[in-house]
Amino acid sequence: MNDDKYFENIRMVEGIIAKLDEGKISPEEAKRLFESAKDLIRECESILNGYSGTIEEII
Amino acid sequence: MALENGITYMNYNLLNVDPTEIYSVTELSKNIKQILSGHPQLNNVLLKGEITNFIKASSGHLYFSIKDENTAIACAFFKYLQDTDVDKDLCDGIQIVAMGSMTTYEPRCQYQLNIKKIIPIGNGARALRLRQTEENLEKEGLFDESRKKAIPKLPRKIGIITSKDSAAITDIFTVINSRYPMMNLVMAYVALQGESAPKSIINGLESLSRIEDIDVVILARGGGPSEDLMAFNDEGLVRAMHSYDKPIITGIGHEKDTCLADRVSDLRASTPSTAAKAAVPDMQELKSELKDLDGRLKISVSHIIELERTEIKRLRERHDLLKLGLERSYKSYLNLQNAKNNEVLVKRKEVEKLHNNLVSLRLTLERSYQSYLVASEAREKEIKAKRDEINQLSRSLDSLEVSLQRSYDSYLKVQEKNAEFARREDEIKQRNEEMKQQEKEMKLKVEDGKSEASKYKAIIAVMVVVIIIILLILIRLMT
Repeated sequence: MNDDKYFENIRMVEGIIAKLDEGKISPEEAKRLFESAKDLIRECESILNGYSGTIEEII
Repeated sequence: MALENGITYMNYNLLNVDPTEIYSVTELSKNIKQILSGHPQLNNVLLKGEITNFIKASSGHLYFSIKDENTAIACAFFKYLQDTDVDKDLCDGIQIVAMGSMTTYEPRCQYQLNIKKIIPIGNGARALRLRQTEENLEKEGLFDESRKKAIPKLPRKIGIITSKDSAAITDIFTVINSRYPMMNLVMAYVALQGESAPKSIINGLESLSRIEDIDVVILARGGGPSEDLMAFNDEGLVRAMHSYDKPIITGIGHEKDTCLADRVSDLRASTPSTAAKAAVPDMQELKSELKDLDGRLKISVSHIIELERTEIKRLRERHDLLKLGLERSYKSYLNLQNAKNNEVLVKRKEVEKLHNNLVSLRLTLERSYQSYLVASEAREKEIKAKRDEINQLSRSLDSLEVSLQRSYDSYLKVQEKNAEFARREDEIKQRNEEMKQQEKEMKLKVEDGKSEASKYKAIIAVMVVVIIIILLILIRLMT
């Protein structure tokens, strides 16, 4: 299911935002987390855009 | 009271009537009730028809009408007469045969059938069977909430089971196009009514189950008479839905229509459109959420950057202050160092001077030492000379002593001579005169001897002084 990957990514990004909001990390770590979160968001966008709109008729 | 013969409403006059013979409304109503209740043809009658205007009162009594094509009659079915198993399924549209007696409702003077027993027939019987099936399935746990599967929020593909000519399909596509036009769909067109419908729907489910990436299935049908929805109450279909490994959303009929397929499904939607909404996510909403997330992420990271910037600014200010302090300290250090260097130079000069002094002192000392050595040598020589001289003097002294001794001996001799002279003087005295000349000469000789003794005494004194001086010189040299 796309569910797992997509919403796991969302949860991870939420976690990263929470960690960033705490403000207890170094700028290097913040940058690394930011890049990681951007990748996760891009992956989510890729999942959303990965649908082709096909309609199969099996019966 | 009834009118007497010959009296009509046209010649009727109250003056001719006994007032006690006039009915009150209550009396008339009571009278009618008595007549109806006592009439044998209206007691324990059997009445066939369809239930309509069904109302269940809070007291548990049921009030409805039984109708046929032309007429309806009011009915009351009191709670104490009801059969719980059968009568709980009564509702509008059910065909029944009711047994009861005619009576009136006195306050409104309306007649009604007080029902004692109801036997469902036709659809009513089917409803009863349906109820029993539902109870059995419920006992087996097919409708347990705990067995329901979660509906995926973002399915890869959605399977749709409906009929090709159904109004539901249009509604579903409309919803999908508005929410997620690119959603991948797999259609299984089946028969949704008639005797073959349950098997056709089960076939549709089996066909969809062979497609791996279908994450949710919609079973949908538009509204219609309840008879048309009977396929969705089929036990075989309900069991097939229950054992299906993917979540199923039902959207069958309208809000009021509920069937067993709805109860066994993982989510019951009131209509096909609602079912589509439940299965298909809103792409714009998801993208908007992603955008929001992206925005929050940027704000969060910019917050960190801002904090870092502030920290850098603070550190820079601190650095500047430290630099300033360091420069000040360094200047002080340099000044101190210069002062120390100058002091060192001065000290060095002083040391050099002292060194020079020392060198000159050393030279002087060496010179002095040389001089001293020379002087010592000279003094040694002098001492030696003195010592020689002393020795010589000593020897002289010895000789002087010898001489002195000799002189003393001479003196003694002289003294002896003097004594002899005295004796001789005595002798001379005896000789008087004669010897005066000789005496005078002798006196001269004595005086000479005395002067010589004085001379010797002086020499001895001089020698003693010389010896003392020499001893003093020696003592001084020794020290």
